[in-house]
Amino acid sequence: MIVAGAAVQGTGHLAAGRGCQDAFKAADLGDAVVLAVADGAGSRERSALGAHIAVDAACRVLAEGIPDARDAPETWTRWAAAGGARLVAEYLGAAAAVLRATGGGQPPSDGPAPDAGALAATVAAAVVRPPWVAFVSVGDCFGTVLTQGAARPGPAMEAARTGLAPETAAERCHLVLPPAVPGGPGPVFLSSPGAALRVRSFVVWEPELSGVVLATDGCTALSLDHPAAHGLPPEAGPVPSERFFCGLAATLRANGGDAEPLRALLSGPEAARTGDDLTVLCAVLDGR
Amino acid sequence: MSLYEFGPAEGYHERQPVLLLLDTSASMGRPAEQPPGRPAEQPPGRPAGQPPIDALNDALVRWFDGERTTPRLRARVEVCLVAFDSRVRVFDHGRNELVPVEEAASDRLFVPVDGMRPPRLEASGLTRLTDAVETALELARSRYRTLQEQHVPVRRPFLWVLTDGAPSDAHGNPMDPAALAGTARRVRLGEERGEFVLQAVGVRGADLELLQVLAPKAVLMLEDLSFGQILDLLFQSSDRITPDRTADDIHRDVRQYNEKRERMRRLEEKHR
Repeated sequence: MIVAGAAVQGTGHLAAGRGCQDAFKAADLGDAVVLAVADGAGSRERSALGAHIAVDAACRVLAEGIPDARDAPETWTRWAAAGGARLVAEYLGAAAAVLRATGGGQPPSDGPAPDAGALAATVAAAVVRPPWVAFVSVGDCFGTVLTQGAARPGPAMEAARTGLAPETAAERCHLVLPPAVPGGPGPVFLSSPGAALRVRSFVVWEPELSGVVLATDGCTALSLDHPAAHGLPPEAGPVPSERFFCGLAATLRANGGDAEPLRALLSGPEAARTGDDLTVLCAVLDGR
Repeated sequence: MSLYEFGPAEGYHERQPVLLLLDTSASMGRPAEQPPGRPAEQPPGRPAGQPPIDALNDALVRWFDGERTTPRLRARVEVCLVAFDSRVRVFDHGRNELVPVEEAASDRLFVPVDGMRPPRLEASGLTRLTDAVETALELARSRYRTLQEQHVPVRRPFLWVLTDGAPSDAHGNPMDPAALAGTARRVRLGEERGEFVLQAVGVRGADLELLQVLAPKAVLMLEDLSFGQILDLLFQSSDRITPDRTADDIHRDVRQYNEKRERMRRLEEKHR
């Protein structure tokens, strides 16, 4: 699998003298990959640190005990749910340790845990072991899966008749982990009360899986089309942009996994329309 | 070879309605009084003897025609102009004129920031500030609802009141704090519910005490800034609202941002 990602400081953060509060991390385990992106809360002073703790915790916790590709669906769903709970616990433990070590938490080690709110961050993680993908999420990061079927017989036969190169089936993208609904309640953070009960976890079994992409909420305008762009009514909700997701996968396959085109897009004039930090991380199947 | 050339998505950009409530009462048509024995001090961009309304008109044209906006503002901010004197009127972009709100087409009141061609404002009449605020609150709520129904990501509307006087009632009498209380309560309630943020800006002659009744934590007296500088401050501040900030946070941010700009300006003057 090709793993590639980029995080770019938002133009709003740039204007206000704030650094990038997003983070991403991937763990390549050979036949499986763990991806994690996190978005530190803009209003919390140490949230960039919280985002790094979140992706680090996700990659450590979710690299353990990954079910086999032949395991039953319930094995995968149970593992993903347990992984979500362990991720929250691991994050809170690490955040408390950091706060104690840096003077952010006064209580002694046997006292109540210090408030991790200063390190507030959302997180989304995906464990990719084709044909399975397990998603774990707290907050408003979002994710898509890409699929690419075998060449359809019709076009191939037509190609043989015309002598032109056979056409492969188009790659498609699916918004399986949607972002927050506009106007909805604010995001849940890993440090929010009851975060362990508000973890979303689910698994996808997709024999035509060709990639997985995670992104922080700042990327919605850059990567999702308004339904009207597809002739759909507003209530259909945002549609993942094939130009963005499938174009990204094709670009990475063509250049051997160099994320520079992604970084360039996230830093370009179209991306400047949002002030938020922008982070995208993906695993693209490379046909091996 | 892929069917797709890598590039950005379409049409899911975040919007932010910004309502500018502009005082066009008679006092805006009078040049600043000149103290005996010395010339009146004028902020840069407001030449001595020029009525404030002319300076405001010039600044609006220059600001919206110029390159003062960032790509982020151009993509996100949509502006509604509300002018208030004895009447409250809104700018109908399609008709290119100020009209009473009940005559305006609701889909033509909010204009992308780079599509705004402001009308020439004229100064006359009273200062019906409370009517303007009540009208603007309803316009903001309505626009917010419409964008949500269209499933467009939308930030809280930001209302900016720009005035050089004191609110008056329908007969031209100055309003007292008790008469402003109802509007002030509705502003506060809407801010607490996260429906909008309202910030008041007083220029020379504004009644600070009454503005503070309307918006206790959200009044800036910007007597030394040109209208162009005020518009800069206003849009740059609107740009800095993030969804996780309370109205009080935002008012504090605006105040601190203005103080910082003022310190920078003085520093620049000192070393000029």
